[in-house]
Amino acid sequence: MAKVDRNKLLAAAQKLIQRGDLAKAVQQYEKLLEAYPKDVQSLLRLAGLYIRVDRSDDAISSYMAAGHQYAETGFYQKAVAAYKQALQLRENDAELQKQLGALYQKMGLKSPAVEHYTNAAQLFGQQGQYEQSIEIMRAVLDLEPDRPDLKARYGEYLYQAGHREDAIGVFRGLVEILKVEGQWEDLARFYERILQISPDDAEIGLDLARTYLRLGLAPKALQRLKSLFEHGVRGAEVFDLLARAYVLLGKNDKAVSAYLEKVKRLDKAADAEEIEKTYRRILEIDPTNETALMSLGEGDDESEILHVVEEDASRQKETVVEVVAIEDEGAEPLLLQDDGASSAQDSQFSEILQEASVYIRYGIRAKALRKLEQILARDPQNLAALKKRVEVYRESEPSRAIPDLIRLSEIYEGLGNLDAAERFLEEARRIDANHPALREYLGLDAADDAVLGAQDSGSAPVAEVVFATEEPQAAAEESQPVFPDADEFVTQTVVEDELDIELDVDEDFGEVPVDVELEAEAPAAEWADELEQAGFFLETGLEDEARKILADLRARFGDQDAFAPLIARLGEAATADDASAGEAAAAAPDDSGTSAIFDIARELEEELDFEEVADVSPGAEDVPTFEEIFDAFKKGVKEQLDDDDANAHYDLGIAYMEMGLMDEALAEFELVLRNEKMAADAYNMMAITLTRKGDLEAAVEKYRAGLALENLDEAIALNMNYEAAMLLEQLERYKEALLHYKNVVQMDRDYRDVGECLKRMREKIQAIKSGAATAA
Amino acid sequence: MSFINYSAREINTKVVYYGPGLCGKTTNLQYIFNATNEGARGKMISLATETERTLFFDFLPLNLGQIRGFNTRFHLYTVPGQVFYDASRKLILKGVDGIVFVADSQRERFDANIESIENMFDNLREQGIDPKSVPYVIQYNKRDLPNAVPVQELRAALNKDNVPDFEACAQSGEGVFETLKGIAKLVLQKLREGAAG
Repeated sequence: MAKVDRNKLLAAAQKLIQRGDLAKAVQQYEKLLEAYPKDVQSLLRLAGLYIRVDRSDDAISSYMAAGHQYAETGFYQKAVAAYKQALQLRENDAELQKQLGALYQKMGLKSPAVEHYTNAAQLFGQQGQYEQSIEIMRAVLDLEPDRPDLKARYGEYLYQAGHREDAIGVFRGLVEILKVEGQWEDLARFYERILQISPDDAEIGLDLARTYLRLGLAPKALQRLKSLFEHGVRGAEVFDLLARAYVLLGKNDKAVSAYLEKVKRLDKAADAEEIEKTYRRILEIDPTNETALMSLGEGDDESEILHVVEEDASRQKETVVEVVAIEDEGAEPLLLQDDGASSAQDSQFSEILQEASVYIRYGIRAKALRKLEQILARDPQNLAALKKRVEVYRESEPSRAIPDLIRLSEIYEGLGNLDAAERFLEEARRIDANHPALREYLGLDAADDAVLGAQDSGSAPVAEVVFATEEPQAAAEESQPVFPDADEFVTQTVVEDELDIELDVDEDFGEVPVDVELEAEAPAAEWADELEQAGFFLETGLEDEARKILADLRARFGDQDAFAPLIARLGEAATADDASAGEAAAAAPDDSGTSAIFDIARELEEELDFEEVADVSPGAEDVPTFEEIFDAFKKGVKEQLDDDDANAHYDLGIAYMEMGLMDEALAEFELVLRNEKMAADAYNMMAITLTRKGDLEAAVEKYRAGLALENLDEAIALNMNYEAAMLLEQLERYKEALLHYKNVVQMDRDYRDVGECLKRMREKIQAIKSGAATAA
Repeated sequence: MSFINYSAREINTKVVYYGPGLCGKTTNLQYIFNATNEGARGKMISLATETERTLFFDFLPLNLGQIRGFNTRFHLYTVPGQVFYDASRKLILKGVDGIVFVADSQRERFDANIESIENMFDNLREQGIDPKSVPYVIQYNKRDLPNAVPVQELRAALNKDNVPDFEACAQSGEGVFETLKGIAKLVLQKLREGAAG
């Protein structure tokens, strides 16, 4: 037995606290914890005392020890609360953040786990402890294997730690994900990152140039291609990309030259198809290009050259780029598409476009939009899709067409077709000249408005944007303020926040009424920490903990006005009657009292062994029904157990089954089914539960479902066949039972009493047959 | 009674920690959970009311290893101790294979111990179980407290059947595993007798 008398130490510590001798109280708790290092209540109290004596490092250690203790015993929520207390003292503690991440992971709460882990990784990174960051990010990626931002962080830490090749590997994996997801801008960013680490990677350089072209960023693509040139990369593909960049920039002559250079670098025999395709591209840009015409042998047939565009004959001699500008429905030119996979993609896009057209025709706009978004997700510059979307919005919500009209204008401007670009802009202006996207695109700001005498006089851009979007007319009419509601809202929010803070302060420390103040002066400081802790528990959803502290405080100090806000927040009864009952109870601790709050206080005393213990029974009206208890239990279990924790649900299912709570047991085993490896066990237990419930038919079905599983272990198959046969026998479905018994014999003829069973079944079937024959 | 799962080749036995409120039943389970290898235990399910009382039951599955080719599992339960949670206690006692009666050694809880053990016998009888047919042991907990009643006194009041009993301080872990071993031994003996019978 422990030599230290816990009760005496606690009592002594309590007295010292009341006397204000906190340093000695700390010593008492430290002594107690030497003997009872796992006493979490004392750890928490000691942490509170450490804070008050300005030993925040020790307070953090105590909170962490308490958190560790709670976590060890499976009280994860309480562990979280303890760690968060510590975190309040030192927000930038990497180890704490890591512990919290691990805890949330154990609780199956992925999102906060990732948040705290990434915080930890960042903090370790800031201290130059990149290996720690790497280790943490590995845990994070186990939780979220496909999140590009997390992969990126992981890659960065690898690079910082000097694992260059590993970092490149991670970034390469990342760009593959981004490619599939069509996140072209991010893709470009990570290509750039790889090139920073590995500038000579020609493959990545080409991919980056290709991505810039897809994004319509021809100058950047050119810059990248130039760099490739400098590194001696001058293959056909570089010239192809160069040509496409020039096309985007409207420099058709240069584009043709680049395409011709590309052809020179291709092998006439092996790349014949590609060469032909390239010449056709040249003719799309310059239909009179002699080299291309000669090479294709199509010099005298202009209309065939332009077969890709269904165009008005009168415009056939203009460049394809210009044709595109007035084309609404026809196939889009290949100029903006990728080569290689582009034809397959074209055909796919064409099908989607057709489907979208059908939806538009029948007025099913939402579906049409979804189809178009499929294309635009993969190819944000797809002219046909953009135009179709404009068409849809034009009919329903014209203002939503504006961003697409702007994009179309940009693309045509890039193609050098300024008339078409202007036409799209003009339409956007007609729809809503004040549309924020349009204003932004046109570079209009408040100053411009003032100079131009524009109708609104926005000051805050955000307000202006919202205002213009929501109420264009009102914007014209309003003078000051531009966005009054927003201002008011912001102001209110701030004020409320401030009030909240003030209120918290009041709750914890402040404004004790004068008549109480004299008496309460010393304890006020004493309870401040605990009130704060209770407030924290309440904020973090640990109402039970907050209640406990409140009960403790009321038991120790009676009802204080300073407790009122916490009581109110906890929804405790705080009527005058209760208060007086509380005072009476505080004054006479032996009185059994009727206040629920003081019952709690007394229970707490029992637990902490401060005072004499006494059993406390609530009034009959306070006793929860079994259903209430069970509901609360199930709710708690749901919070504590991850649905995917098959082992725990399996055990709990057995527990429920043993108690006769069959439906609850079945629900648990259903959860176990999610785990493929435990599916046979789950079906088996479901069948047993259903058998106990008396639903033999359903039980047989569960055995059969189990037997239908692939790769079923032979021992399990044996038992399931045997059990199913027994149930079928009880159901007098002898032939089916016989089949299952036969299955058992085939696997193990000595299994349990299967020989006897088989014989019995045959006799029963024979008897039925004989009976039937006699009857006949 | 113990439930044999032939498919999983497991024997599941149910041991219930019974006793008055705040006697240390949950603390016993917590200590066992902490001191057991991860591979030999499942997740402990323990929910508490706002007053830190057990909500419905605590549950800790333990794996004792192979006995005659069957994996032997002990499911440890606690009951809520307060008098008014009798319905929950009855339910938890269903199918029980062994009981640990945890007595609170404090003098103030002397009567509560007697009330609780009588309640335990009543609930067993109500379920048609002869209390003498269920293996049980008694643990005198909180022996470290100054107001602990001498063991002889407790024994005289509670251990009329002269079952194995153990002194303990669950908070520090003293006597916890001795108690568990005591009940496990009795349950397995009973199981063997059953199998032999």
